[in-house]
Amino acid sequence: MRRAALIEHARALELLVRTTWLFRVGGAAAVARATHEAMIAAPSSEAELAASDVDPWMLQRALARTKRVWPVPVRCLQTALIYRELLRRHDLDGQLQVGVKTEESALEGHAWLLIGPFTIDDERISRSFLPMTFEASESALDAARTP
Amino acid sequence: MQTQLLRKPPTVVTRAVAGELVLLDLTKGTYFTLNEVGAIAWRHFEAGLDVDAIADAVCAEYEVGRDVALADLERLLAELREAGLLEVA
Repeated sequence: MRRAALIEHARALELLVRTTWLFRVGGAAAVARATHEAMIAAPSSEAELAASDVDPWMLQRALARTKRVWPVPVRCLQTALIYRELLRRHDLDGQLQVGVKTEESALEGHAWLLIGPFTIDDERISRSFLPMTFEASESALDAARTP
Repeated sequence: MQTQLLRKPPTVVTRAVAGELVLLDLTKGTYFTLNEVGAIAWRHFEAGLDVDAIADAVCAEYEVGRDVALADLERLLAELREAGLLEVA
């Protein structure tokens, strides 16, 4: 494994510890604050990403490797928040997306990250979810009522 | 009768899904869903309409008695405010 990948692997491990503490001890309000902050973040542009020396896919692979050795399941929201922190350590930022869909009348949620032109989603299912927005609900309602 | 202008708190995000409106309160991390009628009421509450005006709109679109609509809307408004999904502007 290259040195840069090893460094990201170590960072991901540290962030897994920190966010696991946040999710298990910090409580819903602390998670919600982190979620809100990540949802209103301005994601780095494609040009900013190109100008940096960071390969977003290398970060994703490092995080995926780290998750595989982590003893407890890491869900999509935690993964996306960790990935954003990995980016921020390179002066880049990603915007968290939280989406919903209904499956057999049950509501399902998913979280992923946007940066530049890329969607960072380990599970590769974000396209089937509708991202939630801060905008007024009128346009969303109009969409709902359109057959 | 509601006369205060209400608004969606900035930490509430919404999305229409399969005819329902899903609300996520980021301060608590909790989801809520409103059916189509509830979603229409939500939009009108958000726009500052009072319960009487919303009841008229609902009765014009759906077959429901005005008294029933008014009672349901009052209850919905109270629940939305109690849940922190609407706040005084």
